[in-house]
Amino acid sequence: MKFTPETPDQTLLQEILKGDLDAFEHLVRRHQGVVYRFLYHFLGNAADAEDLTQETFLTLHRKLSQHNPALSFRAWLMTIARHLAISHSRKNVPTPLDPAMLAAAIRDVCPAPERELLLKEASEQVRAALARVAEVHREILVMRYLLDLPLHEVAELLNIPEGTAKSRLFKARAELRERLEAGERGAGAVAPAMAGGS
Amino acid sequence: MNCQEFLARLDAHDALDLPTDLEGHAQDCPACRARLAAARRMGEGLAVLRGAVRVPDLALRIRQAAARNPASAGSSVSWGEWLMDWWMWLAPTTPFKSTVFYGASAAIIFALCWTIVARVPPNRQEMAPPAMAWTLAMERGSWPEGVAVLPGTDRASVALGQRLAFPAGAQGRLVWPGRAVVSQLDGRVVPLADGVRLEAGTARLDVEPKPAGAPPFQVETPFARITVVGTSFRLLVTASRLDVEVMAGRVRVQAGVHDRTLGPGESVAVDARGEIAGPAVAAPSEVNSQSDRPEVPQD
Repeated sequence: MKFTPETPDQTLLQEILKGDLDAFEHLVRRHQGVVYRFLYHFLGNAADAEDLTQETFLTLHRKLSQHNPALSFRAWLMTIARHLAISHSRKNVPTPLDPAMLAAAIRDVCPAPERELLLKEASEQVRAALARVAEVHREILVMRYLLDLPLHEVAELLNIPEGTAKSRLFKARAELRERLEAGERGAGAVAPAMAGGS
Repeated sequence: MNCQEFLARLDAHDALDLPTDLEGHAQDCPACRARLAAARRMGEGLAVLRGAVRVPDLALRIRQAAARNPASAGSSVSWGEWLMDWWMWLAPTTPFKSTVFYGASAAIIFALCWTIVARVPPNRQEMAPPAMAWTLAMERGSWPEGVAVLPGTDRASVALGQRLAFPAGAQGRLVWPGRAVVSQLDGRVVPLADGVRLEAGTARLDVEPKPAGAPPFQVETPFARITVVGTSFRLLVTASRLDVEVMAGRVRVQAGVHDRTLGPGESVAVDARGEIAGPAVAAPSEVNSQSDRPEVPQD
């Protein structure tokens, strides 16, 4: 069977249940981006994100018969990824960002060279602070600001009402901002060290 | 705008770019100026991080791993995965779940502690069993089988419930210090927590008056139960009857529906049907007197 980008997820799932690995590969290619980016930002580690992306899809492959077609497939997939990430993140330490990748991202945000150092420092500080934020807050910050998903979709992926997602995001922003403030107040030496570490 | 309103607007703003009306208050308030600076850095940092990721193509690798996996798509879930699902469902990952999780844990721990405390008596010493150590000393004949003589003594310690089968002609003294002395001739006797069970043979019992609060000394026989307050009496158990003879004090004999209390010098006989014959005035006799020892059939 030939699969196209328009082939619905449900059709792919039915084919996977019949043992079609082409359908599975197609499904992975379609959703690996959101899963990997979520895990990468949540864990702060590319190698772990790769391993857990694979584990997420293999778990999905094993549990496919349990999926309720009435519920969002993407929400189910992200639930698997979140559970794996939370159980893994307690033993995880963020690794430094790839300097080339970071420089490219900074140029996308602000092409002015004089701002490059400041943005690099800010991104390193935010990354370090994000790693210390409570998991329940970290996941919503990652989904909303790093995956750039609209709030209603974040609520759907987290299986919570939109109002709950909004108030949780409010608290998550406050926690991240307070951690950044605390870092700026108490670690004048930390910021340059982190910036230099990349 | 005061600091509270400033904070509410700062954190409630969904987008990464900040509202412009916060500047005015921040210029006058150093604390809010620091908050605004941190929020700006947060917005800038998140914007950079959003693009600082390169997604590798893992589709082929994952496909190969799925093909290698012996479990096919939709196969049953292992116990480990099932437990992990339950843990993730229960795990305190949100404020509400945390409240439920830690509340339930505290309630369970409290209930367990309460159960343990409620079961411990207020004063363990009050509940301690009375010190009891039946000992056996042989006066004549060989030791009953299974009895271990205490090293360096002529006595053996006897466990509760241990059946002592005296060889024919053997006579021993079973002593519960301060409570009772049972002189046993032939037959079988079993020391118990509140008396003895005389299964066969002849026994003379000297029982001290019972201490306050202690249960009465009891003698179980195949035909009747004898309850003692403080007395000296003699029993003979054969295959077909029980003879009770009181030397001093009083003894209560219960056999089925029959109940008789004997005084000094009185004796009764209880047959296998539970009939009590007597009382009659007993002739003086001693267990350890070979001449008046009754013939004891060994069942």
